[in-house]
Amino acid sequence: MSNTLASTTLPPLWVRIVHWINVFAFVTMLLSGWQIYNADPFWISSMPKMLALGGSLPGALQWHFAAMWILVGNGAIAIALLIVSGRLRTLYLSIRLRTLRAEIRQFIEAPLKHEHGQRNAVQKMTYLAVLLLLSMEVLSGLGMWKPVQFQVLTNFFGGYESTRRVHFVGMSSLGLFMLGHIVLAILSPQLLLAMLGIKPHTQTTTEKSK
Amino acid sequence: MTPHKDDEQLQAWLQLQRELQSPATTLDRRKLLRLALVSAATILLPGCEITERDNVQSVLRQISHFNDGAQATLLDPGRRATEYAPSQVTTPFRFNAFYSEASVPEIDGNTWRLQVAGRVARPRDWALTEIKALTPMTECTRLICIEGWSAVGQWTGVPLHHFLQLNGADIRSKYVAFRCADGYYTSIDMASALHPQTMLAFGFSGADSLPDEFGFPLRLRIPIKLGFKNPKHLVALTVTNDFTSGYWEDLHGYNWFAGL
Repeated sequence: MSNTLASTTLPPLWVRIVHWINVFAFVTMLLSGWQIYNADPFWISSMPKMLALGGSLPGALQWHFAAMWILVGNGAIAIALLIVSGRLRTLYLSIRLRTLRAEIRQFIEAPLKHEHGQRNAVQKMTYLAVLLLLSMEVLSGLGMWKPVQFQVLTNFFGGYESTRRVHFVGMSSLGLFMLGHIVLAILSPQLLLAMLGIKPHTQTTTEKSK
Repeated sequence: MTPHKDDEQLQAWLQLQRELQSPATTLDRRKLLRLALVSAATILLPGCEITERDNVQSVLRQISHFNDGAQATLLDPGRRATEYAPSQVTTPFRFNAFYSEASVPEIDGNTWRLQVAGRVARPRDWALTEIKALTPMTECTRLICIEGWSAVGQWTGVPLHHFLQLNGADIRSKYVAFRCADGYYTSIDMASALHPQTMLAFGFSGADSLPDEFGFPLRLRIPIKLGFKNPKHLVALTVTNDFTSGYWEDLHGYNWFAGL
């Protein structure tokens, strides 16, 4: 029965809460950001208008500068709890160089293998990259929002015009991650359900009865 | 919202509810995929119209008002916007207004006057020659539009803090409000009005007068705020404690403080 016990463990409640708040805040930032981008596009002529949030530029800016508080507040709580709980260290900073190559090969062969409470090196690196990208997105966002008050940030990203493009690259990377993340979650429903707080309906048959 | 779309949304909600209430939440991939699609449809159906709903707009405007306060707190009166060399200006400089370039007002500089009113010791009308006779400053700064684009320009004018002082303005007042010849209006907080880089500009790109399309004969140039807080073709300046907002703020709900 120990097998069943292990697989019915849910992520801690705080992980589930900050995850779904982040989903709401991030998607709002992403879709309103597309509408803002459409007011003065540079690399791509237009982001999909069907998905853009806000109706037009003024509405999009209202959403963007409202959701930013949720994204940053929730993100700060999440990072603090990741550190205090030891989750950051045990789950994400525990990449072992010795087994790195083997783990990468294993991931390529079976990308969906993902036991509860365990991460392979590829997953650890991906989640760390996402944390860094989110931080970069917040900092470049602040540099664009306040290029005088936070000119240290704006200058760090190469000036106002360059900061806009850094913000775009961060958005694109995070958007691609989200796409892959959703596909993998749908292909591994037991993980999606666990993140939703639903204990997977496990087979009562154990290895003994097989 | 059209009634047709309302129906679709209601159906999507009911479907989502049924899916969530189904007794066996088994690891059925097909069911999960359907659940995901139905959820996505529920979120996306309201689409762009959600922003215009009265209750949503009310909440968003309250947060925008909160952001006015947050930005006033963030404002460091001593922090200056980056200055550029004259060789770094953007040419041609970009035109922007709520009308096309053909509709730019043509103003006679000889009869034009700037009315100074409100909480000032000496309310009066200023002629252009009188303003140009004051000690000017020249600066190359970046104008950042709310749309995202930016352009570096060179402006010459009289520092607003000096001009307010000349008129005996009560600088404990909350706002400085501006009215323009083209019907545009806006207002700024006193701290930003007193910022050393804020000026009433009458010259552009080395010339001692403004081109029509960039605000002849006088405009506000405030590099610590977004472009739409830089009103052109000024006709009145009022020092006041009454909040009078601005053209785009009233029309579309742009954030009033709009600080950089």
